[in-house]
Amino acid sequence: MNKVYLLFAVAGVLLGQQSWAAEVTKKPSSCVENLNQEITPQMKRARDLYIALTGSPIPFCDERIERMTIYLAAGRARDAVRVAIADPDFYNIKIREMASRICTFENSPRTSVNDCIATYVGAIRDGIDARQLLTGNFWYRIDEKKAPQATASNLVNNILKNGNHYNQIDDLELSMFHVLKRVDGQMIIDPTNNNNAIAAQDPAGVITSRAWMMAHAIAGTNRRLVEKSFEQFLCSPIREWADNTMPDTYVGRDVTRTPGDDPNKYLVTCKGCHAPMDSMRSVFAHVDWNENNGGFYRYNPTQVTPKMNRNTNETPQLTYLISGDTFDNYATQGANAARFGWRGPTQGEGMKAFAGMLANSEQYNRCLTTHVFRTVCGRKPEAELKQIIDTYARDFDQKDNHDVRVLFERIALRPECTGDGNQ
Amino acid sequence: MKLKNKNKKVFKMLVAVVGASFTITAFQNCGGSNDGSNNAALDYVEQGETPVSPIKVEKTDKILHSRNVANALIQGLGVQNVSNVNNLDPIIQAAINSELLLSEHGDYDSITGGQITIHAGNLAEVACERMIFYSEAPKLSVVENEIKDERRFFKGLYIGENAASATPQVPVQDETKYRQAIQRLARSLWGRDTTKAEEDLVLSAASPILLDTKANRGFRAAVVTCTVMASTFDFLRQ
Repeated sequence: MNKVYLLFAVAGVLLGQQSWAAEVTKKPSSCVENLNQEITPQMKRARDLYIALTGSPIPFCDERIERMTIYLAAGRARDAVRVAIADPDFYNIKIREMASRICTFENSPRTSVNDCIATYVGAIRDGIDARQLLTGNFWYRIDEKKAPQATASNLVNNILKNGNHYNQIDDLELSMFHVLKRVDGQMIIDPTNNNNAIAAQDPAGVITSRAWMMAHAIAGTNRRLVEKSFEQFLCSPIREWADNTMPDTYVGRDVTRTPGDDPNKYLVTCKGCHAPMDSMRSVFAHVDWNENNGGFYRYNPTQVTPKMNRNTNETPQLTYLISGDTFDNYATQGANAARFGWRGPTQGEGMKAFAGMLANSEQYNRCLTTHVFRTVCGRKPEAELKQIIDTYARDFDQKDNHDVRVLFERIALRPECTGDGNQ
Repeated sequence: MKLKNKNKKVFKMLVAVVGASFTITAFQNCGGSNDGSNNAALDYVEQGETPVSPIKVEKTDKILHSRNVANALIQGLGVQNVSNVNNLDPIIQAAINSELLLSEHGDYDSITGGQITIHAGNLAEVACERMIFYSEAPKLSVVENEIKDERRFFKGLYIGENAASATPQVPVQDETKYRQAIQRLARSLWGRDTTKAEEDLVLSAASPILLDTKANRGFRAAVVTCTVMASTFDFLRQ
């Protein structure tokens, strides 16, 4: 008899896995509204919260709204929002939207899925400490067992050299919530053999993703990588942390010291941005974007990318050249100290150290909180709401284990977000 | 003894007065602590989190944006792929084609042209057609002379392509049933009940179609009804 039970149990597990494995797209609601049932305030609030967290309007008769209504009526608001956060659309729609703004050059949600977006979605789904989004050595891809129809899965030809693998998410209408799997150990194209992949030697979360590098390491002088790191991960456009009181020790020789024959213009304007930005630019000394074969991120630790030391004839009187990937953060004095709340070393070597400096700052937490607010409330937080952002960021850092989903729970329930603004 | 009793009375009165003051002032929001702890309790905190009192702010509406409009239509109307018919692709493709004219970020500032309502209408029409033809219509059947109507919205109405197939129990035109269909659509798409004036307005769009003689007037009227409701700002403003 015990063997029979065991057999049924195994069959149940296998069948369950099979039906779960097949469920990689979300089915819409199909219930019929009961017009005789009055819409109560809790029902309306439940639906508003669900839509704020998933972007999907569903009918009041849907069992998710019914469950959320019961929780709200019982005063268990956090349990109510967790029903929405457990929904695939929270990840497929809302987290994707938030990640799209961070992972693209245009800061726009109008983009296909890429490896950076997939890593955000997968990591948040799995409750990973948000700091690892910058410091971690992992990435996310489609699990072929859960989506066998996603055949563009070759590491070199479909993932590292183009976006074909991730384009399948939209092309095949796959649910990222269901199909993404974590892969430990980032991979890059071998700098000595473009047809080979090797383990990344300086991994830094989404900063060393193909999508991020494609957005910011193309051409130029790799300054954009620093500028955009501060803009996206610390919500700090460069005009806000420009500081012309810092020495121009690391300002590149391609920056003329007499723009328009006016040295004062350099000292007052140009130096303000370049002094702090260039002090960290060398982090990306070994990085470039190769536009051949679909385009891939190239990292060669044995050489400094030529663009790092270009146009030195602008300042022949100077001798500074970038020779390695050490950095010395010059955005640490005066107002910048309070703005960023640096904790830990602000000097170091390599992208992982740079990413760690960003991820451990207080501003990283405030910036993530701001991104969450914008995603769930549909607007940037007003200046009057600074106390909410600061307090929630502090709790996120000290009490909520850097779990981004907790930020969504708390912010969605704010009257300033889904309520009437306390009018 | 007299002094001790008098002290007890004074003490009791003092306690009563202090207690009353606290009770009275606490519920008028100027209680013993000025940290707004009554309001901070409205912040749903857990595990040692820090509450923050509500802050008055001028809120702006948010709006469905980019490709999310397609998802919202699919979820709100319950459109599904049926057998070998791909119903979702046309809706998603229409949204991608209209992306530049829909809001980019979910705010009214990023609407780039006045054509948003036109494009929202186009998207809604695509979604409504597929919902009505593939999801609603097949859920009406006659089983052993009994009508089985499992449709979500247009219950009791004939919305097929051949008006001659309509019956007295399932007519092409019935104002009461049409208003109920509008009310069901409103709950799904707008998240609220309609007013009579709104029902009149939507009916006025469908009525001329129902009065003409074309065989598919039931289908067309249903599509128009659904399209009108799914292209309003009440739906886009989520």
